[in-house]
Amino acid sequence: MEKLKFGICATLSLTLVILGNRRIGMYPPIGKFFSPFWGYWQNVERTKYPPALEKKILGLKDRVEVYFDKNLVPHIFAQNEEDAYFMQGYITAYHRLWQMEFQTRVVAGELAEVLGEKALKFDIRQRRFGFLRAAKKSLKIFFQNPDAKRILLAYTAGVNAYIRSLRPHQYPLEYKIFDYAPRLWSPLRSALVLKYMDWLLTLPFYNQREIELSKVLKKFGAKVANQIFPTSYPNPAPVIPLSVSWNFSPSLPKAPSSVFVPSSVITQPLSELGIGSNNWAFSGKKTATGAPLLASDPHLPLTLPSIWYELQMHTPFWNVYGVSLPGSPFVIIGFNEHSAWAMTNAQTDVADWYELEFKDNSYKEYKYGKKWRKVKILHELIRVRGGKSRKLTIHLSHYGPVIYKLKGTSPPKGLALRWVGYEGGEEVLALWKLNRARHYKDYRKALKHYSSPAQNFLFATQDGDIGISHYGRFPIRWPDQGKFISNGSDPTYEWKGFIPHPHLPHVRNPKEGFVFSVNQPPVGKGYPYFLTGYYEPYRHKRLKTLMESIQKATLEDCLRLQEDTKNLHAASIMPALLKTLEKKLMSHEEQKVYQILRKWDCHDRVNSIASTVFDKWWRLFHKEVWEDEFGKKIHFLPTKLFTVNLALTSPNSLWFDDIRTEERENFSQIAWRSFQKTVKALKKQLGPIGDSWQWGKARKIHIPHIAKLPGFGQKGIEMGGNLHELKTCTQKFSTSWRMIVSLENPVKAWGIYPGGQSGNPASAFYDNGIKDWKKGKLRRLRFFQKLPTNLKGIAAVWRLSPLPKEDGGQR
Amino acid sequence: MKMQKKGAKYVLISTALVALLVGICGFLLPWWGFMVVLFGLGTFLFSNASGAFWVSFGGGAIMWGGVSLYYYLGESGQLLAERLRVMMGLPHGVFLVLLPAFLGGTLAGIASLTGHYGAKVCQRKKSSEACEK
Repeated sequence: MEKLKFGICATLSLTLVILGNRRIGMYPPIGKFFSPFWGYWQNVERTKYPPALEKKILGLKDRVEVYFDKNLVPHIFAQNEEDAYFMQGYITAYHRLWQMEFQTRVVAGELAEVLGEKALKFDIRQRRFGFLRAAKKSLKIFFQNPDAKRILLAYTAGVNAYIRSLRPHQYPLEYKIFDYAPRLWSPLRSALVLKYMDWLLTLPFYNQREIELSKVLKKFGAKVANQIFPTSYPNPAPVIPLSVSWNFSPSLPKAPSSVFVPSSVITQPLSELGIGSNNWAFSGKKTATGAPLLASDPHLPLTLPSIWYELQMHTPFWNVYGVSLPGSPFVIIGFNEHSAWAMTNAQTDVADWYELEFKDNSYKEYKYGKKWRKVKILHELIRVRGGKSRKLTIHLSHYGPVIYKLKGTSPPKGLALRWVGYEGGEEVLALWKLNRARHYKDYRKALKHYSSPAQNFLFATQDGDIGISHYGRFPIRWPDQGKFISNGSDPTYEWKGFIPHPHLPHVRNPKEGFVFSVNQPPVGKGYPYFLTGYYEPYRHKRLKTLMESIQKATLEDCLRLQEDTKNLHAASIMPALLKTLEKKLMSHEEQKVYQILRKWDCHDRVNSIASTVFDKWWRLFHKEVWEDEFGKKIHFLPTKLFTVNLALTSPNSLWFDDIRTEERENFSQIAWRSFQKTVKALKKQLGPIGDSWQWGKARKIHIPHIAKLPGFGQKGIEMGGNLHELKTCTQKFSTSWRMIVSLENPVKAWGIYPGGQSGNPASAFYDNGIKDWKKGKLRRLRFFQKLPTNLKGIAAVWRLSPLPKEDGGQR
Repeated sequence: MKMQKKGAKYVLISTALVALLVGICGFLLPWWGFMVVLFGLGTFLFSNASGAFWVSFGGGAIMWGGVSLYYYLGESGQLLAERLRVMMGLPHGVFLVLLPAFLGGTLAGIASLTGHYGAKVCQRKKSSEACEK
């Protein structure tokens, strides 16, 4: 009997240990996780601020001091450049280790290795796109320059010094939840972080757009497709002012006589276009202080931990402050003692899809001109946690990877992607030089190294210069080349090189006294090269008007611009929409809503009921207009601007007719119909008209955790703003780092981002910035010119010194 | 050699001993290390099975629950508990203290019990061998 009892108990014990040590399904390993000595309790912060620290670290060359201010921003004081980047790596890892590693797994397609089978589909997609391969290529180019190599290696050594100092119970919380251990950092990981931005800022647009527009082309023909998706619009305020003239006339490639119609298209759904940015600068002539004033406001998908990490790095040679990307050295957007810079996304098309015709079902040879060309075949292995590794074969054409095979085509066809991001550039060198730039010429020199993701680089100096460059590697194409899927068998469709650097759009100290970019088209009609992309049509008009009206700009003016909620899209269509409601027999509610709309000034304020109504109404109206003709398979409908113009200029256009009904509808009927549906839907969703209809309450913002862990994000944030106004804010993305820099001597700066410095969900500094951010408040940034002597406002000091090699060996 | 195994005092001392061991092991060994030590303890400390289980359960629960409670009440404990509560769908953050207490107790109890029965099996073997002689 005892034997049996012993047997049962022993088995139970062992089972509990084994089960408790293992992740089961979505659940963390319960034994390890619930143990207060190993699990989540070890991740609580024992003190509000990091404790003071005196430590010897292997890999440092000299003494380093780190001052954490009350917002937990580290101010690193190093004696040489390598130590500064070493400490950037060390401290970023100290606060954001899990995030920096996880993001590189996302972009490389290495999630299944830690998350298991359910991440496999995502990994396969990432591997087909080949971001890891692209990052390797970038790294090879980075390493050709000794400075870039030196810095990447110093940063890596810093991250690894921190990782090596950790014991398993000290791992960041997410490692415990997903039950894996951090691996050592390498410069390739940093290249992947930069490639992540490259991907985020370029591919989601063109990747989808060309495919969707090709569906339109197939359905309606070239004439209609070009009519409803025009490439250029009247453009009153491009990034480079219309006053700039171009004194070069390159020979451009000629378009083929007919538009290539692809044989088949894939039916992948469209991901919401969710990035954009604002930046602007006033020259000293237009500011109250007489010094240039620069504002940055990049809009990115919101996540916790935040995409940005704020820091200052000081060496005897340079001194820089701003936000960095966890995992990459340098400040990405920021300022130094002499200058400030900011980026917005260029939005210009830097990727084309090519349809390839293959010889047979092996997809090994494709037609190119009159010959067959061989693909290069690569094999990749995706490790899957708790399952069999998956082998993946990648077919590489001379354009780029063949990402989709088109089903049901004979001869077999596939889609290959050519993307500037695959070519690699010297971004590391560009950032390195930008961080140290003193004068205008330094900034222009720094940009020469830059390739992708293309940006509008805004720059202002203490010398009084302001300027903006639409910069990156842009292919030379004929007008409208790459609007639809290109014919990969025809060499005519090749890119004819890249626009040479001196020809890239750029302006210095324009007579307007200000420069700005808000994802609008980069240039006016006179620019000799063809640039195309997905541009925003509304924000630039508003910003230009406001900036022109300001004579002596101040910090408050910039704040006011950043918080401006005037919705020009609504303003352009509202009178016409309201007119369609006149003399209509309305229900009590409809009448009430109508009255609210009539009084609306088209500002999307947090308490505006009209904003909620307009947003819904427009969505339903837009769908009603196009969905009957487009069907459910095309995910890209004509733009707001085109639809508005159509309504204003041809209200009886056939496009307004609902082809599903016998009646012949016009704009007015569709507007009225969608209005009725709007009121009904909102009533159902929000109850009777009242406070619950307010914009902030009806459209709550959710900042999710990077891995979407419930409870780790922040829900229910009420804010004004929408897609087409300066206060850009949708449910998923918004302003990610607001910064205003006054280039006085010494430089003054203010900033905020919707998150916190700590990546630890148990820290009060995980999301502390959100409170001020949502109110549109900025914090004064503490930019030390030298080692602080007064410790007021300093939360903790770390004094670090090199550990001699011989001691290090004994660890 | 065996001490008097009766009375509240014994229960108190042995529970404290178990708790102390669980704590020390927590800092020094892998998370399951305390179970090996309690297995050893179970082979000689307890006179009966229910004592072995419940005393260790108490000791384990006190240590795992106590340490959890300490962190829960500390600087950012409730913030963390709230996030994990949502993640795991628990009704209240205090479950992040109660669950470790229960789990720590159960693991400790079962480890001791295993040790206790293990010793019994060995004793039986020895005594039957002695009888045969």
